[in-house]
Amino acid sequence: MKRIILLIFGIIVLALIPIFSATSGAVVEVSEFEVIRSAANDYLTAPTTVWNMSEKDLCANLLDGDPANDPFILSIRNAADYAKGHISGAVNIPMAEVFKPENLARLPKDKKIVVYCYTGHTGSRVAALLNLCGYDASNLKWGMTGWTKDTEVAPYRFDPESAMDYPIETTANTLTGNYAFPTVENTALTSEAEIIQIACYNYASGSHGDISAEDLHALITDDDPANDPIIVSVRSAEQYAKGHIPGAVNILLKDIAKKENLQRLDPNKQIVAYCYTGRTASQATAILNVLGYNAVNLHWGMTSWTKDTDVAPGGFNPDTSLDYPFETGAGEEVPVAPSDGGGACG
Amino acid sequence: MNPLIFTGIPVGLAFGFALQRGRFCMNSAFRDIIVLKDYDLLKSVGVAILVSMIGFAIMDKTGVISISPVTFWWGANMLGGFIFGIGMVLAGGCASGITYRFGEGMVGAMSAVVGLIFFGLMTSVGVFKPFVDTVRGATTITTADGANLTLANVFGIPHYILALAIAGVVLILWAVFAKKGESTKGEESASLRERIFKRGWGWRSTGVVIGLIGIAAFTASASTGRMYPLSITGGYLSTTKTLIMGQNFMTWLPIMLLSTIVGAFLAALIAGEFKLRAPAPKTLIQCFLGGCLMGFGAECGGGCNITHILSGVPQLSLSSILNGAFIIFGCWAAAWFMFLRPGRA
Repeated sequence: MKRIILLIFGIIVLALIPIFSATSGAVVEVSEFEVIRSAANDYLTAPTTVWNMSEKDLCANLLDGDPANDPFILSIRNAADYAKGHISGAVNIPMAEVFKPENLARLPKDKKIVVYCYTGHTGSRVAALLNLCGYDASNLKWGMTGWTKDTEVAPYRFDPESAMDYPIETTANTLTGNYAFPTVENTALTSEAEIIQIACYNYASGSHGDISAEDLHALITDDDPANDPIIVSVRSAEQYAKGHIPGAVNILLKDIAKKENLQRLDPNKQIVAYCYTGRTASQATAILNVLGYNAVNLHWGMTSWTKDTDVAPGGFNPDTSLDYPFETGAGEEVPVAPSDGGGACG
Repeated sequence: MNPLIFTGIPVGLAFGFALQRGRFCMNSAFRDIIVLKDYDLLKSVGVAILVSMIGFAIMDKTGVISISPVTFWWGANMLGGFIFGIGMVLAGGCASGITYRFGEGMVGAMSAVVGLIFFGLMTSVGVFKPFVDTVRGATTITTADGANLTLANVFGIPHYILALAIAGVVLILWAVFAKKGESTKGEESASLRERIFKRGWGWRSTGVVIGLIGIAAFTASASTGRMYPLSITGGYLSTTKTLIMGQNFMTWLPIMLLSTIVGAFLAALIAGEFKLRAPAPKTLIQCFLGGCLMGFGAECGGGCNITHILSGVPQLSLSSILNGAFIIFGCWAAAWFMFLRPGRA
């Protein structure tokens, strides 16, 4: 009796081989992955792309006396924080809701959109994904933190003192694997716009947490090589050479959606992307996630990993940050007209 | 913190329970075949590898996990494996053996764990690190595109085909050549509850359960971004570093490992086998020294016997096959020296 059971098991196991071989031959006509990838690559490689807008530039733009050139300002913070204080004229749509079709319909296609959040991390992601959806969006560099010093209105300010002093590496690393691209199957729809919109909505409304420098350090130093993520630096080659997180490879943001780089990434492994201060890598993270990768962003980037300002320049400085006026109240449809006097952007 | 790391708790509890009930220890498995000519535990190990091999192949093919072998650094694999094998004879248990005996209250196993942690840390971050890095660096071999070697990529056969073919052929050969009338001793006579909680498990059940736990472990740990099934040594080191460095290293693996000890403790308690037992001081020191050798061997070769034999061999990892063979050689050499050489016993 035992022999027969073993025999049957053996035959079943062998029979799995032709079954699997047969199923892997199926050809998918429209690859959602490819639709999203080429939209992302078009956005990242466009020469006119402005990834971030500085607080100074936005303020100057709003106060130049020409309302015709004012951008559409999108706040993606939660309603309570919006009510506490928001940039004059901003419309609030929380991040998880932005990519609902009815909300996308509220955004102008013929006008610049400036997205802002708390610190610039999630704003960068929404701005990147809005570009994939065909909008012209930029992130407000430091979010509300860069606009006002009021910690009631803009909590979660970066404290340079909290930066770690973790080791950095100067020898270059490369990824040499060759992996199949992830399968993205969010929808049965075949319109490219819908494929992209649904992927963006799934990401923005799902979990998109950052990893802290402390947690990343623990992952790569805990004597368990199996949980080491793929670490991708999206900083310039010069900054990468000056110092990078041990084990990190360098892929510039504009190159992140290229096939030759994506095929080096193991879709089953966690990817940690990092940049200078967390905003550029936020874009890379959002794009990798809509492509089906499991990527997280290093919160506050290299400035949280090391105190060495030569290796990690450009950090948020709470002392010299700006202090522009803001509006309060929950009303969303405020006309875009700054109520405060001009010349406040100095 | 990723809440999925707590999936390590049920996996660890089940693993500890199965280790204790099945007395699953590779030191006993390899030593017994030359010292006592008893093959039961070895068969358990074989069954566990077979079950995991089938599961990993299916999960890899369906995209749940991806096969992630340890790097093939033959010098470090041979040296680390051999020293680990010697160490486990002195310590009286392999990495899983000392872990479940720790849970059972055996003080000798606890002293081996202390040795394992001590020398493990000296090797992974301390004085032996430069030496191990040199040996690894000088003997690393990868495929042309830098992937770690497995039997599948060395022969250029898709992993699932090779793994399922090996497993299927072994099962059929087993069916053909199994001895007639081989039966599980008296297992059928007792109630299921009695058989699970009170009696020791037979080698078949132990092997199948541990193989299935390996599959569950791979799935659970992959959900946290850790692409590997069961390991033990790294978990001890992470836990210790968390305690002494004031930084949190508690990821999936250390949480799974601590749960393993608790699982073994509960299994022993339910079966009425838990008791604090301390051996003679001389044996205690021998266990500690054995643990030290295991700590060095595991951190040199890229893993203990669980990482390599239970988790790596089913992935057809070349590093694990070589390292596993040298664990067995080290075990036999030490067992011969201690029990069999002319003039002993």
